[in-house]
Amino acid sequence: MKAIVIVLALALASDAGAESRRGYGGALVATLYGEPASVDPIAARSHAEISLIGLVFDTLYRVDARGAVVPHLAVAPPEVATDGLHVRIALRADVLFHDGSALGVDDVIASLVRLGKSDAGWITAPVTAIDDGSDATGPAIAITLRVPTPGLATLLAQPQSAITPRGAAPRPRAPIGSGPFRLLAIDRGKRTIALRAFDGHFAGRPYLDELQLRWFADPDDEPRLYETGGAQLSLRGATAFAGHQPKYASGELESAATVLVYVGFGRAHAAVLGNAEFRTALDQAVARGGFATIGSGERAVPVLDPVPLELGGTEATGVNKTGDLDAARAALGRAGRAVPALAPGALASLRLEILVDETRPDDREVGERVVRALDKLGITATLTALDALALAARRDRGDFDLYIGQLPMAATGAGVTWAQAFAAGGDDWARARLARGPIDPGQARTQFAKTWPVVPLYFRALRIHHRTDVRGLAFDGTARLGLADAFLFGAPRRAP
Amino acid sequence: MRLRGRFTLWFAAATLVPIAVAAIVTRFVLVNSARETYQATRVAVEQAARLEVQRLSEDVEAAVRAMADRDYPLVGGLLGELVKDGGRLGATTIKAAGRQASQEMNGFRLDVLTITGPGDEVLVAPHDRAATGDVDPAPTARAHQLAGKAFLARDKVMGASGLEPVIVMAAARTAREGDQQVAVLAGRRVTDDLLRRVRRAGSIDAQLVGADGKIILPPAERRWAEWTTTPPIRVPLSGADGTPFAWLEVAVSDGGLDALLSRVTLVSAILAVAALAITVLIGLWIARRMTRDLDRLVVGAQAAARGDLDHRVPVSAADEVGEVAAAFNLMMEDLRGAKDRLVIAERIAAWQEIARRLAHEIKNPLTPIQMSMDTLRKTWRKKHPSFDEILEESTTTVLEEARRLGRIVSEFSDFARMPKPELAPCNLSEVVDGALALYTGSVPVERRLADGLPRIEVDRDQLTQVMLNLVENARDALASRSEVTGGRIVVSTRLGDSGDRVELAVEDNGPGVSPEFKDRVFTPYFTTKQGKGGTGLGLAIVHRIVSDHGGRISVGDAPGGGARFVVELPRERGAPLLASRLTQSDAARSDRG
Repeated sequence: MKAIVIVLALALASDAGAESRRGYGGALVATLYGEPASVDPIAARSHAEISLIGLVFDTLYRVDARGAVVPHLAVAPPEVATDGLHVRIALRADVLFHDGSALGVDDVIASLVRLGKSDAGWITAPVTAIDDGSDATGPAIAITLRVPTPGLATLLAQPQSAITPRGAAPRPRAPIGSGPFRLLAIDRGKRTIALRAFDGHFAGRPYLDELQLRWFADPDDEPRLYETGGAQLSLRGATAFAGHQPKYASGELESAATVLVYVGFGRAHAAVLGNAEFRTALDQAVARGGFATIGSGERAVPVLDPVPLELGGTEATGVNKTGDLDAARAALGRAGRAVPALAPGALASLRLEILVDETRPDDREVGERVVRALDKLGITATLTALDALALAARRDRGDFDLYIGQLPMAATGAGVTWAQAFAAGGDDWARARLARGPIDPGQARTQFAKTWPVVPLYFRALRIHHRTDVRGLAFDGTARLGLADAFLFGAPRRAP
Repeated sequence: MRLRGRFTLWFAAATLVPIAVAAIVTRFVLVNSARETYQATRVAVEQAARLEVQRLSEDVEAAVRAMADRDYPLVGGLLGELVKDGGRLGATTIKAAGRQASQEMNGFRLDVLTITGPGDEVLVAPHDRAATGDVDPAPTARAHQLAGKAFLARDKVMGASGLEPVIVMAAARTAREGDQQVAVLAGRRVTDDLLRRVRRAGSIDAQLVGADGKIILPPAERRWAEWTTTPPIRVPLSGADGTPFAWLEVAVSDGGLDALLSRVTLVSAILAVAALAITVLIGLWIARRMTRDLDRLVVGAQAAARGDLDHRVPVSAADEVGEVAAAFNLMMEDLRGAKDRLVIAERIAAWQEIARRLAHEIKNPLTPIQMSMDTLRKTWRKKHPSFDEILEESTTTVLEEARRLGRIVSEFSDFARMPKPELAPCNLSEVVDGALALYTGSVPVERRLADGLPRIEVDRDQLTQVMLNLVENARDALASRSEVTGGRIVVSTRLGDSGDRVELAVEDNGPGVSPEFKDRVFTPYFTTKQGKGGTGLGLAIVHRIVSDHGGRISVGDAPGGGARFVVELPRERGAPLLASRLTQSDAARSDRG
């Protein structure tokens, strides 16, 4: 909550908040935090992916800038019957897809059914049936729950629950959604995505006419483009150039530290990677204190579990900041008794491959710290930098050992974040647990420590540097920048 | 061996022996010189290797000395922040310091830079930014232990694909401000660059070997072990504890000596071959020049042996050979003069002999004429009754003898006025065959005439006369020996053994020619047939004709007894053969008159 307050304060203090005369028109070039590998909502994982689908698709509910879950495609909060197991969600009747077709109940039902069958199916785990609940008052869906689920709206505010026409997977190059922007083209060679304002958006047309989202292979290219006037928004801004006098006056906006950076596991050395003691050893060996120095000055919070501090997460302090090597070696010793490849005599010949997304500027440094942690344990690890598509493909194949992942989490409740973390590691515990009722954080933490589906490293915020002519910017509760409300006003102010 | 060959051999030997001696001496001198150079090179290489290690150490020590100073911006800034914040640094400060340290590291050409703060926490480690925040007591410990002195150590740097183990020459110092202290440990990788500074392609190679004997940096040459039998130079690189952490081993190839000797041998061989070739050529030239006059003398001597006393040896050299040639020419002059005198004397003697014989021949008829005339005068004075008969008989005798005188004079005239031969190409066998067709004697003549003889330039009529004279001579010889029955004459022709002449041989199985007559049978008016009708001019005419044809005639013994006359005529016109002579075997024969 504290973070949200800070974000709000920063937003209000910025120039964007100071301007009240909004106007339509103009084009904006902004930066994505990495390359989106997919435009399919159910596959969205990274910040870039959920940012993109947040612009193209709509969900029934959303987390606003204050972290509150508010209706979006839904007209109102879920209407829960007295038994707590039957829920009716009324839908807006005036929603259109980008192709002009109306978004109907069938689309919603089909999308949620498809979601339930996907890796993100934990979101609908409490749901047993979804039916057409329309009546004279308007369109609606009727949901039958296994157990009373007070946080159903929070679950349905997850970006992965976005609605697609007839619940079909969007076409990779021409996805059709109902979101404020229509995707015109994805040019992965030029690392750009072109979007245009959707005039028929139910919440009103975005102020901007066009939006171009970009990502970069070289981290320095992004601030360079901003400094040379090629982009109005930047993740790193002029801070990338120490001692440099910025060309434009910049405003800064920082999200809550809700993007979890973690180590995920592959299957190349299945016996090693599947061993919980090995995962424990890695967790203990990582010196999390150093993660605070990664990035461009945005907030970074080393953590021991996948829950933001605001939701009860545990910050890494003391020995956990420098890594507890004794504990790590002890865990590795236990692992070595079960896995021959981890026995002391075999460690020297073990080579682990760590995948990093080369389009995310900080992932390599994070990977280096994991390499170093493994090195302290006597395990050699190598880094392989890939673009997002290649990385996603290898992650699907599992022919690697570790990868550096990120998980934007909605700061709406600890149970959802635990569920997200379990799901990110491919662990169905949370899915099963949600089917029986809300997740208890204590239970989740205990279970998490048994299996380590992922090794959480730190939560990070996202900071946006924007020129003074860009107004109306704000991060939502999942650290997504609300570009639908952004507008241009006047000329950018030159730096003094 | 001819003198020219001996000269050439002497020249070659005179050249090769000094070259061989020079090559051996040169090789010996070069070996000693190369060994001394090799030792000097080893000393120089060892100094260079130590200097490179020292320079690397000093560079690192200087870098650390410069950085570990509170007045140095990076370290001073960190100390200032630590003092200000009570021993803690914010993430922004650490990040900024990391960027600055990265630049400093590049500026000092360092590969490792670690700055630790309170609690030995790594504040800055641009070579491995993931180490930031770790606890590393090494910089402080090394700083206290070695006070900035360089040492060799293992470290790791973050490469493109992960941590890479490296060997670094490092040094550490501390800097303090107030109660805050930072330790700076910096190092430079010991890479092949260090070895390259020592190496010289093809002659000097270097490798870095750990104290455990394992190769850290391999040599450039795979055949390191083959380079030298001398142990490599070893320069220690001390670790933090002062003991050798690694050895810089440098091998100086002594293969250059072998190569040098091989080159010397090769060059000597090439020089020897070249010198031999040149010497042979020069030797041949000189020998030819030196023996040319001798060869001329040989030719002159051969000419003299052939009787060519007009031959002269050209005198070009003013040396002993020239003097010999001059003496030879003088001798030939003398011989020419003597021969001319002898010829004149012989001619005079011959004509005296001819005159004597002619006088004798003339005198013989004069005696009966004189006696007949005396008888007529006496009988006419006495009015001898038989004067008429005596007159008839005496005048008949006078007339016969007068005819005889006339015939003698006529033959002499023919002999003296023998015409010059009119030469035309003829086949000797054909000429002989034609001549024998004219022969009508009682003794059979056997013909052994060769076919395909080369045509020679002869006077056919004169050669026919030669043939007939020889056959008649043979027939007379057979007739003079009454006990001989089954006499035969064999006429044969053939190409001479040397190919430069054709031969005609006429042999009989008569009494042969006694040795004392063999050198006189061709003399005019010499005859063994006195009173048997011989005039003594037949063989003389044969000799004259043969001589006029440039040929020669000899008399010898026929196989099985008898005489054998051989006429040799030159095949080429103008290439006269030696004068007629007796064959060697003639000396043993003597029963023919």
